[in-house]
Amino acid sequence: MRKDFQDALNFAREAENATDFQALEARFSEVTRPFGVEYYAADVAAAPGQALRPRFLFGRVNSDWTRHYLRAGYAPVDPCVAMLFETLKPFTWQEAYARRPTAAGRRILDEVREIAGVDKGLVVPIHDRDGETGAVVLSGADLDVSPEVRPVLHLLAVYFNGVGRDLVELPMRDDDCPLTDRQRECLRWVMDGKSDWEIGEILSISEHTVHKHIEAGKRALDVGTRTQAVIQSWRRGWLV
Amino acid sequence: MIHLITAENRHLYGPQIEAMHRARAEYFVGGRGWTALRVENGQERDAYDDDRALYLVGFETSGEVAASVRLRPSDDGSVLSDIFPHLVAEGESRGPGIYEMTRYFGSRARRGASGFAVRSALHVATLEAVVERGAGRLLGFTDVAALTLLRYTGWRVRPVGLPADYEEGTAVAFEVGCAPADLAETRARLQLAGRQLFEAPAWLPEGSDVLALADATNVILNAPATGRRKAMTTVREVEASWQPQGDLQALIARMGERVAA
Repeated sequence: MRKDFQDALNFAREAENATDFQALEARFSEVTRPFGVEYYAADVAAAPGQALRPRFLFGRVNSDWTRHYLRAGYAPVDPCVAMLFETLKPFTWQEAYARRPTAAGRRILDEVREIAGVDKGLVVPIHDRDGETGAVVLSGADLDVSPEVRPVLHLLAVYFNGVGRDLVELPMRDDDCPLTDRQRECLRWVMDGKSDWEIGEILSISEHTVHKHIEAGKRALDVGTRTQAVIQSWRRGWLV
Repeated sequence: MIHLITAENRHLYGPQIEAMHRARAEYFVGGRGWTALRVENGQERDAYDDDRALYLVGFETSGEVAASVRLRPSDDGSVLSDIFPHLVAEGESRGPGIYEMTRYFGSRARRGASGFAVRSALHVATLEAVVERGAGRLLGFTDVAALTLLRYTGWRVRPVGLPADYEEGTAVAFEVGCAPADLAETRARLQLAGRQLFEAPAWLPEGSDVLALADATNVILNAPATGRRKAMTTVREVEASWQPQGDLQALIARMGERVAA
């Protein structure tokens, strides 16, 4: 196997052993460089039941370009964002534009080349368990998007995003938990597959009250579904 | 409890096995679009559904399949070694002690939060099954896009090769840590200290209520004292109406010991 491919596979195999985000990011940067990756970003585009709300999570970006993209309000008209919701396979900026050849799309492509000096980008869709849609965007002037390399970048992106998010979100301590004990309790039973009625029986409260606790928990976590509430709380260790 | 269906005890699971194959057709062919799979009478089966296949199934109270996975030793062949050998670059894809996991699915009703409990039980049960059989390696494959989700299984998952495109997506093979220490780690992550796998004895006659047997076993093995107390009350009630055969005194006595403990 090519050395750059072997390094990529090793990154994916070892990623979960990473204990700090900086080390993970440094390694990711190193293994993606041979493929022409200059910039990389983990983004979230939308959660189910919520409006499009693009957020940058982490990565190395060209800040002039990022500032410009946000000020110009490009997300709702970016063909790449639309395509995120249509496919699970990675696609290039050119492919997204070819699918929706709008004037805005053309402008975005021209401007990213002018401002950031890159005209090749690969968007790796990330559909997380709680239904969130996001992406890892890799770009560079000489980015390799050949058919052999794409699956490798796909694998790298998926691990960088998954492990990276856990490491970045870990530092939240128990005192940062926005849920009340009752809300946590209810969500713990939801995770066990119990219905609101069953939870009411277990906790000796009404089904209606259980529902209220769960809705309040969702609001406290700023999520749209109880699945997301359970996952987010579980990842942070609040449901033990 | 998760039921382990083998060649030896499959006579106890006639309708359930058919239900599982129908659920597989629905999920993999209907849902995932794997049209190359063979479906007959609404049931999906392939060459690896033979006497060496092990089926782990979580059932609803109604008897419907909630979640399931197929395990099979690979020394005589496997999907990965026979059909997708290019997906495995690290280590062997078949051999003694190497098990393959395929046809993992959950019913529509059990996607999302309400499926956590049964899927978690299935994840622990899978490791219980392979550890008991002395497996040295457990392999599976999935779409790269789903790899993010595998990280929530409580398993220790690592890719064993680079992904490759197939018709409907991009496949990647992975291994699940299956040493006893991995089982312990998965129990801790999923907070399931008790045994999850139930293997109905082959000597049971056809028609035995295996679902009830599994639930009773779960109570005896895993229920806290309060649960066992309730179970004892039920057993006493049965004894009052079950004459002249049957002697449940011994069972009551044993359960009483555990309650006291």
